[in-house]
Amino acid sequence: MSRAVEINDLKISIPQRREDEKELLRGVNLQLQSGESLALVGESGSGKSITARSILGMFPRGAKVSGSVKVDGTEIVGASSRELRRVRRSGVAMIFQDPRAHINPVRTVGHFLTETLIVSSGWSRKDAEECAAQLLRDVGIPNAKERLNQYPHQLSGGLLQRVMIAGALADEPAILLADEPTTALDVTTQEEVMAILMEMRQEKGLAMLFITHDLELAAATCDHTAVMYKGRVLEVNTSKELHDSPEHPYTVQLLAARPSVAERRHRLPVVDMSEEQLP
Amino acid sequence: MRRILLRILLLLVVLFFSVFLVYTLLYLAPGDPIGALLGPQSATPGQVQLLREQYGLDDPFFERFSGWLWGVLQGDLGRSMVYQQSVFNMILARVPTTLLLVGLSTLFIVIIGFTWGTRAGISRGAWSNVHLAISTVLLSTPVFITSVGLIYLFAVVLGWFPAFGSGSDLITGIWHMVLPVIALSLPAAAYLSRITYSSVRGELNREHVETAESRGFSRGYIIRTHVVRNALIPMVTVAGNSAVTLVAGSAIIETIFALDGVGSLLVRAILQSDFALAQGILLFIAVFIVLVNAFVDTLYFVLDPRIRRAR
Amino acid sequence: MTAVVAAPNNPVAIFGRFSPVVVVSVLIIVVFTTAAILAPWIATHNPNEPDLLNTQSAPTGTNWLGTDNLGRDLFSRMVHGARSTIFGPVLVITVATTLGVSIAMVAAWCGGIVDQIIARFIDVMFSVPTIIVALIVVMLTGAGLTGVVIGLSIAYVPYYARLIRSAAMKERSLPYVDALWLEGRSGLWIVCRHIIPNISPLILTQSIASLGLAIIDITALSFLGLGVQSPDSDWGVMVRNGIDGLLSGRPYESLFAGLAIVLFAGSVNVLGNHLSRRFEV
Repeated sequence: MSRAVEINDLKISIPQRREDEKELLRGVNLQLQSGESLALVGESGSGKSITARSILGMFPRGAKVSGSVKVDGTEIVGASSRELRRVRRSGVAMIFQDPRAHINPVRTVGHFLTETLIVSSGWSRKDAEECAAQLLRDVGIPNAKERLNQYPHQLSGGLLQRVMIAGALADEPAILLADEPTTALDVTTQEEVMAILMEMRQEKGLAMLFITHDLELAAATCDHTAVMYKGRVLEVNTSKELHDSPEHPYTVQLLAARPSVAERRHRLPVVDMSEEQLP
Repeated sequence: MRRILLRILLLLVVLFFSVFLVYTLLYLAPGDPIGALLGPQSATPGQVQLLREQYGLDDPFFERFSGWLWGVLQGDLGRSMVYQQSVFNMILARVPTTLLLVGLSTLFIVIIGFTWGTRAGISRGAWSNVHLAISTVLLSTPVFITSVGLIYLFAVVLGWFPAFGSGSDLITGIWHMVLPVIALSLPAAAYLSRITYSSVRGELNREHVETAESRGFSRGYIIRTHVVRNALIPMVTVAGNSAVTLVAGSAIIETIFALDGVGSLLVRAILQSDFALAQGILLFIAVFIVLVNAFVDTLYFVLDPRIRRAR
Repeated sequence: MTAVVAAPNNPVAIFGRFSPVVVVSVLIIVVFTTAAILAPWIATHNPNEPDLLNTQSAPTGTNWLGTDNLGRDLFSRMVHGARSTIFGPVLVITVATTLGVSIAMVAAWCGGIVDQIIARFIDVMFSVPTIIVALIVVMLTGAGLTGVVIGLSIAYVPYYARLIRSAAMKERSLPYVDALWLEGRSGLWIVCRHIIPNISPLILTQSIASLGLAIIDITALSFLGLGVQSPDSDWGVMVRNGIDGLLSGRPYESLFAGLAIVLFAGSVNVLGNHLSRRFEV
């Protein structure tokens, strides 16, 4: 199995004017094998999204970056913008959290789905629309032809997230980055969108980095799970192992802090980590 | 289709009210139109009464209004008391000059304001500071001072352009328009570029731009397709508003550059208390404002799909 | 980490925030306003007295800024003209603020149909350029400073009314207003004692910002001959009066008067921007 993504000792910090640097990532190591799915779990601000975006070379503005990020053997850190564009166009696609904000509101759904094909791959408009309609059908949206002429505000959040998934699949990537793709959706539609995403991944044999803070969801959908805390990866294991016998104290606490229907507790335990417990 | 009819109906209602407002305002004018008409000449009470009847000054308000409106619809705006000419013809003769001035200025404003603001908006650092400094200076300089400055520099010192007059044909007409158009446009162009600048800046930080970046598009494509297009919406409002203020500005510019347009005619009508003439011109301006606003609304409709569906 | 706590009445702490541009602007405003107040004592000549033997003179030892086409001393005319140029706009803003705030408060407090009617009316007024409103009023009153001041005051009302109305609406919806209302306080009392003081930074900032515009508008109208009437002077009138000289290569009158307008209006704008950033409105 080849490595689709290999992150070594990635450090990202933002120099501040007065205080010390703000450290976003403090040496992240992570591997994603081809065709494998890896969940990235952690609380808000632990660096999950920044890690995912760094795979596309989308670093925060003004950030200091060191270490290495390799996508299919191409080094991302320090790559020219031409190289970066090539990686973004062909190898990796990203699904964002909030489709309402991440899809241009003044362009049609069809424009969103066809623009990569037309602009990057040079397809004719007719072929691209044909393909876009097929993509919509693949993600379970009926009346695909009509949907192409609609605007984002005319679609529900769940439908729009499916459009986002279809858009990510349009340029046939090998790696999919999903940044909490169901967080902004209603509970009822979350499951549907998740099911579609998993189905698409399996059908096309894509490698996927799935960001979530839901441990259950991570275990249910991904082969491996990595736990992040304060800009570090604390533990990586198969999802089952991690769930059944967590090694790192933080993971143990994280698992203990989940609310559960089976066992009602007066108060949920608080996750509290001291610096010594970190690697 | 029904929506369009409704909008046209609404437009007519607004038009009617602005016409009514203009009429009422001048009806309430305290001055004595007969006195203004006679000027220094003296007249017997009988002659005054004859004139009052001739101009229908003693009829009840709504009768006079409807009679006047009926005349307006037939292109009769009354007679100028000072010039003893048909107001409609006087305005008509001066409309081309004003339209040329306002039209060229709008074009100039949109081109300069748009390119300049976008250029400053997409660049980081020096460009945006230079933009801020220049636009601040232009915005606090009144149009008439810019005009006087331009006349001194380009007409008196350098002698490149004529200082006054309208020119005799289209070519010399446009030649005479150069300085007035620049003077009229500069503050509005500076303002539009400010708005463009901040709306481009705002759009650049929006999430959908991040999506486009993640898809590996070139910066040029992203700016053209996902930034400028979205930033157009607030810009249209400003461009529309400035077209309206240009009409007011043309009163000043035409007076300075001795252009024989509607704006300078209004100033003269006011200075000479020529109510019928002023009323006709104000009516013309009111209709212009209503039409420009309607046009801007329509543009919105085309530019923003969210409004298109909601209405 | 070392915390720097500035003493509240330490002058450095207060003036340290001002950039040099703001300091210069405030200085210009103070100097021009003082000159306007003390005009009769500062002026070196009678501003309206012609001297036909000494017309269109360049700046000299006796005529510091030169003379105009009738030989009147430009410096004295500038200083006297500063009065209407500066206090005219101040009057306009005072009247417009009072009217605008009152209308906005009535709209915000009454709500419902009253608010709707006022809002529509403001919208209509808003779409008419200020100069046109002023021109209409000047036509009714006749040319002169009074007409211009009344006209511009009316023209500026919608700008205030619109902004203050929405701020007052927001303020009114805050829970403390309900609390006062339940305490049995009258509407007028709440408006005067709480709502207006709470939005006063906004009112002040808006007033200074519109003062810059009022200076430009009032000089433009007097430039057109609709404001201050001859033989009195005003900077707008002087720019106009100087055009003949300017065409024959003696630009002093237009130049000095124009420069004074730009400097003063610009300084007011800089101060307005500074205040709006400071109050974050």
